[in-house]
Amino acid sequence: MVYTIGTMARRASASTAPDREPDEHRLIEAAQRDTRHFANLYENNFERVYAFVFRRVGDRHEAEDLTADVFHQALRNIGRFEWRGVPFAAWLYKIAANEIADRANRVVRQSAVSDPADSYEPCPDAVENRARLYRMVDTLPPDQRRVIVMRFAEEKSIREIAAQIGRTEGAVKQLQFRGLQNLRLRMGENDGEAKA
Amino acid sequence: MAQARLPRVNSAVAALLRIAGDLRGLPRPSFKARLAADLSKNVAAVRRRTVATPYLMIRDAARAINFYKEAFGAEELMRMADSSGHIAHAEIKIGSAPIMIADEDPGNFNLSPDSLGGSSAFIHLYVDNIDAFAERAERGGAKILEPPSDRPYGDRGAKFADPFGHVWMVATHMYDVAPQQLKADWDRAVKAELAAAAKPEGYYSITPYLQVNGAARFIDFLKAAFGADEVMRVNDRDGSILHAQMKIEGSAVELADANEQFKPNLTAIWLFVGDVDGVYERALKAGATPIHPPMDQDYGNREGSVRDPFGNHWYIATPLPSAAPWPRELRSVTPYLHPKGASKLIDFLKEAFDAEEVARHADERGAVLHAQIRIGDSIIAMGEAHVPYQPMPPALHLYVPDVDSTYRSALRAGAKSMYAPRDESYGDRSSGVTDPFGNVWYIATHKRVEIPRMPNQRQSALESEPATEASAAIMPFMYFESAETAADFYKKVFRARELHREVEADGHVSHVQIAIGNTNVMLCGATAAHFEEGVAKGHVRTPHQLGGTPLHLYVHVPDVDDAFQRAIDGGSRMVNPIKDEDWGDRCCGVQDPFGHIWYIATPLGQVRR
Repeated sequence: MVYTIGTMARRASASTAPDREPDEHRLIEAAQRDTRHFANLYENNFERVYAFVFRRVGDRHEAEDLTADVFHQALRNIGRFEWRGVPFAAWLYKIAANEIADRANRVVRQSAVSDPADSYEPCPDAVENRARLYRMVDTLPPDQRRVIVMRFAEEKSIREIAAQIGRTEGAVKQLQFRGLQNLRLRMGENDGEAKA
Repeated sequence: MAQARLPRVNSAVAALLRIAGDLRGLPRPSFKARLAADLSKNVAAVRRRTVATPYLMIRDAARAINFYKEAFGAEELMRMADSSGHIAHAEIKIGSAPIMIADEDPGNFNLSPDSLGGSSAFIHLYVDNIDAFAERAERGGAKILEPPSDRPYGDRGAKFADPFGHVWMVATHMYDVAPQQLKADWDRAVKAELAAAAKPEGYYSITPYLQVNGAARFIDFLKAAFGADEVMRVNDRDGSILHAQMKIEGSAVELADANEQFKPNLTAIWLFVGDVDGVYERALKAGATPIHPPMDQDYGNREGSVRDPFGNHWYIATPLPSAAPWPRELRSVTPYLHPKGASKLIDFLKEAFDAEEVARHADERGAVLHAQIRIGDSIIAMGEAHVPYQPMPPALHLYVPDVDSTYRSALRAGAKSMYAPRDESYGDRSSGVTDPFGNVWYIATHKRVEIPRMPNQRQSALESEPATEASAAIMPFMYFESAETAADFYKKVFRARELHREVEADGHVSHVQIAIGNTNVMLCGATAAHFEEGVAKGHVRTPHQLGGTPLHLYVHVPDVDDAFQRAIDGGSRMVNPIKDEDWGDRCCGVQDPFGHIWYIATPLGQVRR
């Protein structure tokens, strides 16, 4: 069975299952044989790691730095990963937690605040939900997706967005509303429960 | 925070707000893409760190790159050549495997196989389809050293030499073989090799040894009944047969006349033949008595059985076409035992001979109805004794890798010694034991006769014994004014040995046969009669008469420098000075006082400096 980055990307974005890919084990083995296949693992886990880190640090720039560190470290050490049936994401979360703790320790040394790593409990369900939401943005109709990304990822104002895409502010608001509504519906559908 | 506002909005809006809150952490697509790009850059770095890339030094790298493209389907990735075209570094890719190439540069110790006279490293490469690869490689001018074949480690592989002296092992991986399995296969192969080396040609591990009264008649019976071939027969002075070997359907049977020491024995043999009915009829005609006429048996054979005139049983069998095949080790001639207490005998065989149970069928009380026990590359069959098959313990000749250790374990397992391991004049080391069931085992290890390494021909010329007069080699007849003088000269210069001389009535020496190394030379004196006759015929002339010689002789001596000195001292003229020649000899050329031209040589390896 051959996976290309393209098919995996489609699979990841279209995935409705919140859990790990059933063939994750094979992807890991492929990446261990040839690190070029690491791209598949990255595609499948980027949102999870980012969501995990962002929930902990709450800051976009720090989340990006940490996410980058986590994946670089995972790539370097992929050969040492031993498959024991635990999702690959758990390993990534562990790397991420260590990175966050390291960073916090560096901060501690500078500002003498007590270790904040202990004050956070990992919450995989919430992380998984958040990651799923991020991926679902990719499934929105293009104009809604564009507005959602500009608004939430690029943190632009309605006015900036309207100027940039050449639509009225009302139209942008409408696209944002429809996007959010779509996301809510899709999240609800996939959860199988209504979140009122 | 969102919680605090909840009561003021309706639930649909609250859900939207929660979504919007969660989206605050939405990663920027540009970040995701940038990180992916960074990672893929690092992938290359990580890959480079974990892979050893062959770096081929080549004489004429440019031509080689073309060859690799043509024959191996390579893709050129980069090439850095200086103004003279010398390639300092190039990279190609075969499939996904990178390979680096440079023109050789002896000044920097970068030497190609052409300069080194070979390469000590092979390039091992996996490809998708080795057969297609091999076809293309051969078309492209690669030399196939080993054509594609399935390897026991799960590859289908082939071996090529390229025109630049590099050797490639190329394979397609077909299936995984666990390392433990590989090791076990290897050990088994080594064991089989040892076992094979311990047997004489044409023998399996187990050969029945039939001791009868009237072995010569028995041989005749075997020929008539079973179409046996007589391989060898050793007669004693009184005409009795000390030892004979027969082949029946490719399997060996040994036999001898029984005597005081080796009493007659009775043997039951399961004999696999092509045409059971025909053989059964022939056996009866040759004097056997029937036990059972041929019939189809439910265990998969058509079988008929007879008792030969000496009392031995023959269970003549052909596997039915519908039956599953018997194990390979079930030989055409398979001893069939009828012991009392078969399961105990099986235990003994395992302990004494490292036997393995291939099959066992027992009745509800555990009595063995039929069992097949493998020892080395052979199987013996057995079934618990019952009417009419009472114990008839045979003598079995068993070849093992180490007779001494097997003899000891047989005794430990309860066998009684007949004679301890001893070296036999016919090349075996052999011992004899009787097991607790009365079976006689001649345990032996065949000692391979060492074939002496083929000596270097030139070396053998120096070391060989003097040739006899009847040497089979070409013997030059050389003509001289005086054979006697010539003989003296050659004895002195070439350390020649005189074998024979012919003196005529008048005391004139007409012929002297000498040996130089292992070559005989006939020195012919030119007698008056000779000349009259020879000149008339136009074929007898000395070099002096001819003014030269068209025949040059090349002779190996132990010490060319010494021989050269003696030749010159004896009046020869130098034709070629002494030199180390690139064909491997230190060599010189002289024309002796009689006009004959000799190239005198000593192999470089034996030159005393």
